Amino acid sequence: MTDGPTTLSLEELAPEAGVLRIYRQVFSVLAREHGAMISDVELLDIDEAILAAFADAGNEGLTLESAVAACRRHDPASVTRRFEVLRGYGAITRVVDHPGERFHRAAFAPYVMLLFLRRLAAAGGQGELHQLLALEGLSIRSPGAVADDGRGSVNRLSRVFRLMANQLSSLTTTSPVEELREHAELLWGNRALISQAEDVHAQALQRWPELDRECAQLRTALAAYADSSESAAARLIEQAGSTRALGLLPVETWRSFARTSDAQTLAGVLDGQVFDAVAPWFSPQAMALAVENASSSGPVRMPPPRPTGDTDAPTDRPVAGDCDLREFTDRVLAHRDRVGVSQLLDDAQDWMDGRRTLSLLVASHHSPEVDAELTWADGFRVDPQAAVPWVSGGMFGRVVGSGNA
Amino acid sequence: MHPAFTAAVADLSERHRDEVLAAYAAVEHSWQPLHESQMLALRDATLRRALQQMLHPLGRTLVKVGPHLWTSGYRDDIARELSEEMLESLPLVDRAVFVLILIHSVAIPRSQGLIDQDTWISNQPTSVEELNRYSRLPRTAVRTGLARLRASGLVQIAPDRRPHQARGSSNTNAGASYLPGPQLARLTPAARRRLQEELILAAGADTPLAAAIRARRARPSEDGVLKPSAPEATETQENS
Amino acid sequence: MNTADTALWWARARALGPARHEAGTPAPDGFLRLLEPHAGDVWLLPAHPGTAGPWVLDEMGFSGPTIEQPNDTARMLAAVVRCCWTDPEAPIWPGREVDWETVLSVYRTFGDREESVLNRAATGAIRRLNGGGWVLWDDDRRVVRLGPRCGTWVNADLTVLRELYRSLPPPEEPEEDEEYGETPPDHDQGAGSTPVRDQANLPGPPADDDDAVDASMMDADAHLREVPASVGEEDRGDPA
Repeated sequence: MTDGPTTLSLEELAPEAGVLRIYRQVFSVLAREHGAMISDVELLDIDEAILAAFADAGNEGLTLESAVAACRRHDPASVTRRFEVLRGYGAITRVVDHPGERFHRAAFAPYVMLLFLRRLAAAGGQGELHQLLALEGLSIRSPGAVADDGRGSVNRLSRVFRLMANQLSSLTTTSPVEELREHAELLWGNRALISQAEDVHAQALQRWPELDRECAQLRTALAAYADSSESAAARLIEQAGSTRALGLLPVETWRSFARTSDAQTLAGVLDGQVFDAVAPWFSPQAMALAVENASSSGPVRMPPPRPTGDTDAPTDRPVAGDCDLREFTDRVLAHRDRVGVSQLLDDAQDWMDGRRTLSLLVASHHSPEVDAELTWADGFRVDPQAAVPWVSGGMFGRVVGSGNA
Repeated sequence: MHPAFTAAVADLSERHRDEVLAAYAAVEHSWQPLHESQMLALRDATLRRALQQMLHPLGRTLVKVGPHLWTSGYRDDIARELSEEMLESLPLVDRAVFVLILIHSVAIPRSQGLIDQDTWISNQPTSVEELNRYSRLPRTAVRTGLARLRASGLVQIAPDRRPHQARGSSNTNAGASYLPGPQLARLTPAARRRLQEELILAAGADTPLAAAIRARRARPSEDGVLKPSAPEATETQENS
Repeated sequence: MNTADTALWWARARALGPARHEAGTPAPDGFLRLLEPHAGDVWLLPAHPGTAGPWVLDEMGFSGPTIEQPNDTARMLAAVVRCCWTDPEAPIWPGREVDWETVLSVYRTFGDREESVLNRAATGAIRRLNGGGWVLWDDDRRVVRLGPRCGTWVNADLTVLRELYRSLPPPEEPEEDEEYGETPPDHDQGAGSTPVRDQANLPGPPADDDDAVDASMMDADAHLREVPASVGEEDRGDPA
């Protein structure tokens, strides 16, 4: 993922030995040991802690022991291992190049790389792409820039957009829609990227008209990217179902929409929807029963004070029905995690009893209070002799991993 | 009695007529969707058609919620006409709170890859704290709005099902949490899709997705705009 | 009224609840018309046939809308009925308007509760009832009336209510306050009269007595056994 922007921004560096040294340094944070990539993101935390310790240490540097001490939140053995890996890649070097030297200093490039990687991972690389574009814009405007600098910038941009366009088109035309969905970040902020690139393009062309061929290529690349994101978006929307397209926007877009929108804007989302008015039914029998129960129940105790002044919160909810459902579920699933629907219905005395069981099963399944679910299978069991002659296949059981179900 | 109730079942035997009326009452008034095994008129295709014909002249239609699960909802053409009348049973701020819960319980978990099923019913709770802290809506309005939304079934209180060791984490004292309510099951496929699209148009207006939605709606031939035809029930039978 | 209008009326009533219109407003068949006392207005709301209304859910074992504090709320409605039903031998609608203290005087008898607890429960209950159209609560004047949904109770319901009415203590009314205390002038209550839930072509009314239902169920069971899963029919019992 880092090959694109990093090599592009670093390839200009000369001489070659210096480039290689920086390459080795910056990739040290990704190295598990010599020749292997890290497999655990936690190692990045340790690297960051080590580099932070060096930043705090001043120009004397750190010994391995003092680095371990400074990173005491992490396991000393792991810190020692990371220290050695960083040293192996030249991210950390001895203050004096002598095997007996105990003090080390750290280069800054690995830390920059680490920050870069974290941001790339957090936002899918869009921000970095914007920054790359901004940097190319700066270098084109720089008074000392010559036509070759402009050519370099324009070519690099063409390559970035061509790579993105190619990846999108191939996903759109040949991959299952799920895979396209997983790469939705290629679509994020595409307008802003294109217009930023167009700025760079316009400035380069104005300053160096001889770059018209390179600029034409950039225009083609931008158009290809615009086209491919359009057809990718169209395919994603076609296959969006009821909610799938929601996952195609970055989390941050949703958060900022929720945070910054006024009531009018938020409510506007419901345009075109019609919902039911509140319409509870009160049967006179239920009213009479409630009155009767009240007179027999005696004094009612003051409820305990509520936590946060959220007067309408949980204590208000009707618990009777759900309590019943929980009892029912506990009883049915007392000695087992799941049970066949037909088995439960076979215990029924008669059809009426069976149907009550069925209603309780379905109500338990729907109740947010009960951590059990009803899974229906295809097929029916028909037995004219049974109390419930017609039973659809299904299982009733505890929700697996009820932590989030 | 309204002729709609009699016309749709006129050709049926008395027993089947009762089944259809019972199923009508169940899908229209039950808080939760119903399983086919609970109602003959939901599993039998002929009776289901009669049920659909009973719902149709009353502005309603059968909605399939999942495998073997049914409820009823507004006909798409009726919903369009009603929403053009701009009459609202819920105050503006209630609708805003409801949309916030849809964002926190459905949209964000979807972007995080936490939801698998393609439905507006979610198990990802939105805490009252989130509603208060991460929005511009006034606290008291959120509280009274939530009470009305609960009563209408648009939201429901989320059960605290976290295992005990997890309860000590971040939002212990955050107050109640909410989930989208059972009324969302009544959305027809077109209404579900529209809700999704409106959210994307509002939150990501300048994304290629929003552009694709606008382009799709501009093509009247496709299902972006539904023709006011009745797919299952027919108008003629109701007047006979 | 054509079929499209009828469908819109039913759907609108579902989306907005009972609505107040000018007296001359045409409404589709099957709608209740409840005349407003004093004003030339009329409440219009759908009347479901006897076997297709929300009341049949109980018999089928399904739940309707979740009501918070259901018992407190039902008791409050009982108190309002006791205070506002002018004459239990006459139709319940429109009843009279009473002030809040009067309602509380009956509500208070339902339990020995601290006044602050009682007030909070009562306020919550009256707001829920108002939201559902079961009472009309005037927040500024602090007066209560029966809501239009009370007009959907049928004769069998009213029989139970009459008994309930007689079992409740009469309200304590503030003496000087004549303004609220009087029965509204005699109105033509023909339109507001009790709806008839049962039609000749439909089975009988829902049995009021649970035991009776169960008993008839057992009988029905014998012949239903060979007819798989006829949900609903046996619930309604034998026609009364």
